[in-house]
Amino acid sequence: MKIPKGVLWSCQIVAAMIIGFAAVTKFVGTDGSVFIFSALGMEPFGRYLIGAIELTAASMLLTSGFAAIGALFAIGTMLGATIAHLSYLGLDVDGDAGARVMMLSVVLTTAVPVLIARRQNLPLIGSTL
Amino acid sequence: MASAASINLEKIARFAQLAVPVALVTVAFVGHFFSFYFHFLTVTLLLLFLLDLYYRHGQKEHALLTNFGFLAQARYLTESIGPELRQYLFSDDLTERPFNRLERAEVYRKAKGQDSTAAFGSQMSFEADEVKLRHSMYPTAADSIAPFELTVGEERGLSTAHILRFPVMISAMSYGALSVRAVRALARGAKKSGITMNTGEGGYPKHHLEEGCDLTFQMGTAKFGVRNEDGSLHEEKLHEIAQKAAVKMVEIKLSQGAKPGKGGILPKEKISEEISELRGVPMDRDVISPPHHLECTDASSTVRFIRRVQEAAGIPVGIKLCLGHPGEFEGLVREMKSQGVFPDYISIDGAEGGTGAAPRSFMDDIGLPLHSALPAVVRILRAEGVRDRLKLFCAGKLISPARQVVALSLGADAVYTARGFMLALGCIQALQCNANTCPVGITTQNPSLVRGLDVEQRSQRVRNYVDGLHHDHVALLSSLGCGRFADLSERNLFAPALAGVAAEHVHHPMPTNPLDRGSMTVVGGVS
Ligand SMILES: Cc1cc2nc3c(=O)[nH]c(=O)nc-3n(C[C@H](O)[C@H](O)[C@H](O)COP(=O)(O)O)c2cc1C
Repeated sequence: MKIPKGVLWSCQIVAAMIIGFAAVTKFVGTDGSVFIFSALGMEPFGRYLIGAIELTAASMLLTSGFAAIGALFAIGTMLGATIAHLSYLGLDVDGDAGARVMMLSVVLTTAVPVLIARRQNLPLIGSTL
Repeated sequence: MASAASINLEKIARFAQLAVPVALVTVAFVGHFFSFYFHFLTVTLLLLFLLDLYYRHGQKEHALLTNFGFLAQARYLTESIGPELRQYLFSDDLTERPFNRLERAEVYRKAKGQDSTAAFGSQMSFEADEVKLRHSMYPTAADSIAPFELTVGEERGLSTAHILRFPVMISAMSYGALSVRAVRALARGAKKSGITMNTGEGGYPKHHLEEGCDLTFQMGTAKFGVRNEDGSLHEEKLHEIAQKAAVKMVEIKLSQGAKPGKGGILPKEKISEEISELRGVPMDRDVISPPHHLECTDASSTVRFIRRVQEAAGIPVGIKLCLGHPGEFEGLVREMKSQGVFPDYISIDGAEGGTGAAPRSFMDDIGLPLHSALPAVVRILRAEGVRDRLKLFCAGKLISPARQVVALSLGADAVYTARGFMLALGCIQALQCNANTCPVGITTQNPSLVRGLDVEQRSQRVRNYVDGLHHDHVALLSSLGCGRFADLSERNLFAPALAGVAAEHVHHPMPTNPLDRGSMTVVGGVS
């Protein structure tokens, strides 16, 4: 099963745009993100930390050589977010009617194929995948 | 039976297999009830757990990973950095191949213009299987040693004969195998030190010409730059190149030590737009040259082809080959005699020669090594009485001054080295010339790697290397009691174990053929 290049790049761009946007809201400190990180007990340090990881992942997703690592980081942060929604936040956060969870699943569904298609580029373990 | 202290990987792996999910659940709890930060660990362990599942049940390629899961990764990780660990930490100064650390260090020091004395004693083995040079009890004064001079093409009385003023030349390496900057640095270094550089079989020597050094234009079996559609010789194109003032000689490559009987290989990763244009080849596939020139199918057609090239070029024309059957070579020489056509030089490439890319079995197991081939060729040329009709060059790991002097003593008039000059450029022997990943930018076309190679600075290293070689040549000749390079002969060698063909010479040190240039001369009254 081979994913066409165009599809792969579309996935990378979509994922990068969403988490890039998410990173910006964290750095700016929008009410929503402050609300979330307060609920998680990570305000403000955790907000910046996750924002930085997301920003790195977003920029890596926009290259061909590092997209696999970017996808891995994107998946990692999204898994963390999933845990947050499951344990503290629930589906509807701050009256967003599930928009955040939607975005999260879009990132997961675009980043996973990128990681799979480009897994050989991962450092250290790439050659055995 | 396993000793008590031995590691039972299977048990550890089974433990790890259990430990990961247990740890995962634990940190998930801690993360939930204590601090959300622990979920960083939760996510990491979750990914590790998935990776482990994939290794054990998903992939089938690696038995170790199926059996031991992610723990077995340790082996692959260690293996993947093995070459670096060995090179940096664990291999001693004499074990690395093709050039051990001592040999490389000597070139590096010369290239940097540093003093190259060593202390306490030799690292070499003195078991009686190494070739050594015999010094004389009565050395020649260093300042009385005649400068090297060799006129290629004088036998044919060519007005375009080329005079070499240094016994070492840069051996063929094509633009394509080398990066632009490597070509430039070599060519500029050659210009600075006045030596001759072989272009390699990379087609029209655009970048070489811009540096203005003396060039030998090489024509490989695919004749890049001078071919017709069908691979035959395009005489006008050759003539045009040979007319350039900087182009002093033409070399017909019949075969190469690292892959005799196989044409050149240029992997497609290394074919840039410019390279495809200079060679006239497509970019999307590996370029594989044919194993022989279309025109050369036997001795007679080969000699006729040499003749044609000489006429088209109007400058000295040599051939390069790796010896297989001495008998075949003898046949070729007889054919030269009967047609009255001799190349202006023959260059013998030892099987230990290097390459940008070759199949391993060719590199390892085909062709005669230089120390067997060169004496055989000398013997045949002398026996046929034609040693004085042409010049003899050779190559094969001749990167140090002493090895070069050994080759000159075995009968070569001048030597070639490719890898000696690569090392001078800063090659670290990463062994990736075929992969477009050369970390020092010499054998790659990847611009971000080529960036690291500074042409001006590296060309100075080439020059320093040449100066260092010259300095040592003079010192060696002086200690051997020779007044001229032409005085070097087998009598200067101690070579108890040169096998087969070579042995004949070593055991009869005095050449019997009066035509042999210079080697009858007795220097300094010693003999
Ligand atoms: C990177 C590289 C490229 C080479 N390209 C050519 C070539 O184009 N044509 C050729 O005849 N030999 C080529 N050779 C072989 C060298 O010219 C030379 O014959 C051989 O390496 C032996 O010399 P050395 O042991 O001093 O390196 C190449 C060698 C290397 C290492």
